[in-house]
Amino acid sequence: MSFKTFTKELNGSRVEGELIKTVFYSLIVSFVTLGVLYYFKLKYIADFMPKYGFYLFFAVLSYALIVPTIRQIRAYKRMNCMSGMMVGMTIGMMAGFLGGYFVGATNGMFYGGIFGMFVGIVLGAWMGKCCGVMGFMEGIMAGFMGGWMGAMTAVMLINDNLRLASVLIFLVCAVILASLNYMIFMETRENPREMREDHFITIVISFVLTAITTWLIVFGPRSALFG
Amino acid sequence: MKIKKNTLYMLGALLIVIVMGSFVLSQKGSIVSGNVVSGDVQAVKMYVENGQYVFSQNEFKKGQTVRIEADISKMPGCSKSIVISAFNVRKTLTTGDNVIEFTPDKAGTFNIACSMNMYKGTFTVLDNDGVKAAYVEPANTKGSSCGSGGCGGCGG
Repeated sequence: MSFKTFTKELNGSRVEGELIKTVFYSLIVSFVTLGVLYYFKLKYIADFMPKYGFYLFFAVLSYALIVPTIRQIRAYKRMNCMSGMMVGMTIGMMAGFLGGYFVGATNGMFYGGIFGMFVGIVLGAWMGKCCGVMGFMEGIMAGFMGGWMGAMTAVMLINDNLRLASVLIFLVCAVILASLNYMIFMETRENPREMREDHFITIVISFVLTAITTWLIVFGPRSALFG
Repeated sequence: MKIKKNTLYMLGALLIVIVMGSFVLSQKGSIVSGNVVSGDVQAVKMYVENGQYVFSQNEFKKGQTVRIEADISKMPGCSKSIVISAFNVRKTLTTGDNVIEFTPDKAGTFNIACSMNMYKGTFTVLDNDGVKAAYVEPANTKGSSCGSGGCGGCGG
């Protein structure tokens, strides 16, 4: 079973066939949320787009890549220990790092770190528990580390090529998350799908993450460097 | 030719990203001021001592360009990476480019820090009538002190 089979399955009847649709729904929800907020409130904020728009845009794209993996894992529910740990670690690290990075770039290390750590731990532990306590713990640890690392990286790049680094970091994370989708597909190819669900969770997660990130980046507390 | 549903979703997602991306990235703003000269220039020297930015004179006049010339030889590690958030100044100083220029448009006491918020300092901008304004920019006092014992990760 090769990567070609996986790409074929992206149009198939298994949960992998719903991944692209989930990305699409997540993008729609997030951008509609941002659009509504922009129309009623954000456009009146001076320099909103150049100051915050870039980071919000990439934060939304990041969430659109994380949400499909959540759907994929929920569909199979259980995984073996090694794969589950990998799942918890990857989701925790990516969600924490990306969240921490984009908030850290506008609000400073403390607030970025706290937000990234929170998102990373919650998603990492939630996804990691598909294999039991080991994956759960792995998710917590990865989320904790990723959140602070993301925020720290952003703050250290503040007088350097922060925007270019944002694009590169996003692309690398996108490849890692796509690889995780492939890994889950490989590991669960013998397993039947255990859960069928509509896109309620996709919509809720995308909306909540986008709303909190927007509030934090635009109105949230920030350290003295970002005053 | 039958187009698969997922192909449409993929095209839709790409379209959203392109449209939103071009909307977001096409808008330019006025961040990072820097070299804007207005009226007489107030030139001062700056260096780092005991983890603090020290100015040869740390009171400036509002509306008049401030020209800070840094003594790079006395600025270790990340202290060369300057942030004055109140006036949107962000610059990494080098031996070839050791000058920061900005025009303060508000009065009060403001912070200057390195980009890691480890090296810190303050300066005052006097009101038009030369009076010291009551405003003091809140300082983040929780950073570590690079100057006292070197700072891991930002040496050089």
